[in-house]
Amino acid sequence: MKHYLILHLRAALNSLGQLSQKRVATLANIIVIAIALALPAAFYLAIQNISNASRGLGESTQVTVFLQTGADQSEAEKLAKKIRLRNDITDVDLTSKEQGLEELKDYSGFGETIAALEENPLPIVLQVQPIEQLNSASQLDQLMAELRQFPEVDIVQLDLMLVERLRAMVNIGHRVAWILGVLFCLAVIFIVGNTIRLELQTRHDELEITKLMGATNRFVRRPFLYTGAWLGLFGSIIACIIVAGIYTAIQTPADQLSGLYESAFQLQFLTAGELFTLLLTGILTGILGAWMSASRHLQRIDAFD
Amino acid sequence: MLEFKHVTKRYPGGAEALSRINFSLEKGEMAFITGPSGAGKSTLFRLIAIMERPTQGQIILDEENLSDVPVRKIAYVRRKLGLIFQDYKLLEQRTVFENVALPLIVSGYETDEIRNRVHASLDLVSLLDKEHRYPLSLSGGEQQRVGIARALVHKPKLIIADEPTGNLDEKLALEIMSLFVRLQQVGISILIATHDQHLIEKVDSRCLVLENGSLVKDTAN
Repeated sequence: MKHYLILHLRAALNSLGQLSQKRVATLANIIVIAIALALPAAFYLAIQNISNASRGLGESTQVTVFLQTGADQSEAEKLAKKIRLRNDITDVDLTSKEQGLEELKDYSGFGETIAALEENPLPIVLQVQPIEQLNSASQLDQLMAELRQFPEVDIVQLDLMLVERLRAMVNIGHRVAWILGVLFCLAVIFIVGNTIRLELQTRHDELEITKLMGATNRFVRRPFLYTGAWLGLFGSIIACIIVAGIYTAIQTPADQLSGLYESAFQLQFLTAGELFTLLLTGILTGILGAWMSASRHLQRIDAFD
Repeated sequence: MLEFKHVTKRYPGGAEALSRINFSLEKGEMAFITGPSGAGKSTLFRLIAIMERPTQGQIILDEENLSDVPVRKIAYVRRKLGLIFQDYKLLEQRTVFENVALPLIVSGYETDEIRNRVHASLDLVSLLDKEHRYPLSLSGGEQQRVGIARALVHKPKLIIADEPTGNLDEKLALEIMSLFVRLQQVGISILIATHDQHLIEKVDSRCLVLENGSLVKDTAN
């Protein structure tokens, strides 16, 4: 056991020494690896935050009922009362034609155009809030179908749709993040593999002599695996720093945006587990790249005739 | 210790580098291999170090048939050997100490033991004061002695040396030869390829003569 530890410690330090002798080349490699790892990580972080933001929206499942333009205020109030009596409804909020027009003026930016209208074209709108237990799609469909039965009702719309669409897009985003992650990991494997391949070529004689002195392939391969691991580790540490930099740069405008929506949403950084995964991914892809190159090279040395 | 049984090595293209070689070397026996260049000495050494495999025949080293050794076990066979090369094969980026320590490092010896053994080995070739130098800053003869120290450091069972005294003056060459005789007395078998007829006469050991890949003379018989 001690013997094994000695071999590993020597290989680890040896490879670190080799890397530090070629500072510029090593640094260039580490930065390329860092960028390759930072891109999918940053994308993942963005998707994760959009996902968090959409979670806040999901809690307000509302049904919006647009009445016929012909329906007047008293008819609307009567209908609202009727709907409020249903036991699957917690509240109904009535927006009159005038209120609707005011809101449109305030929020749309077409205030002057709207003021020029001779007649209010907007319908009266009822915001219907179902009870919390009513959350399955079929139950909501049933409710919406019943609301459509009232003669005053024109259109019934479930606000959930928007949230659902956003969620679906976030799901696609997550998947894209994973695909990017895999592709960039492959890139890291090849970057490290190529670096190690060049290193093996320049040290070919040394490896051959070492093997003649009784070194096993494992012994010869080991320092190169450590080189891959170091490159991956340093690359992923810098990738973490890059992602942290992007996060810091976006934080202030994100908070402002969140403030405008009066949302409690706050930008989240990668969790400790996710950071650990990033570091581990860097190390493992580094080792894998080195292993592929070193094994191929050693096979060539071993080939007889 | 070492036995060649009808060993033939044919290279692709048809040239026969060794034809039906038979000889054996006992524990603690020393023998010279001589003959013109191209006679097959290098091939013979390459077969013992399993850098190549024989086309036919068997090579038995320390009761192990080298033809049966799988690739992943070759390293362990080589640890029984002390190899001395004509072109030294030293690591230029490493100090004399690190070069001599190599056979111990690859076998995973502990640091203290490595230091003791490397110092002892360098002392035998009178290079103890040069342990921190790099090979290229040494003379040819000194590099050759570093290679010899490296071949002794792990107490091999068999030393095979290719022109080990080629770059040494007569005095040093005789010193190295007397070192080999001492090693032989502690049970190490030694096989030395050399052109140096003068040296062979002085040491008076068994001599194998190779010509065109065949063993034409063996003074033991």
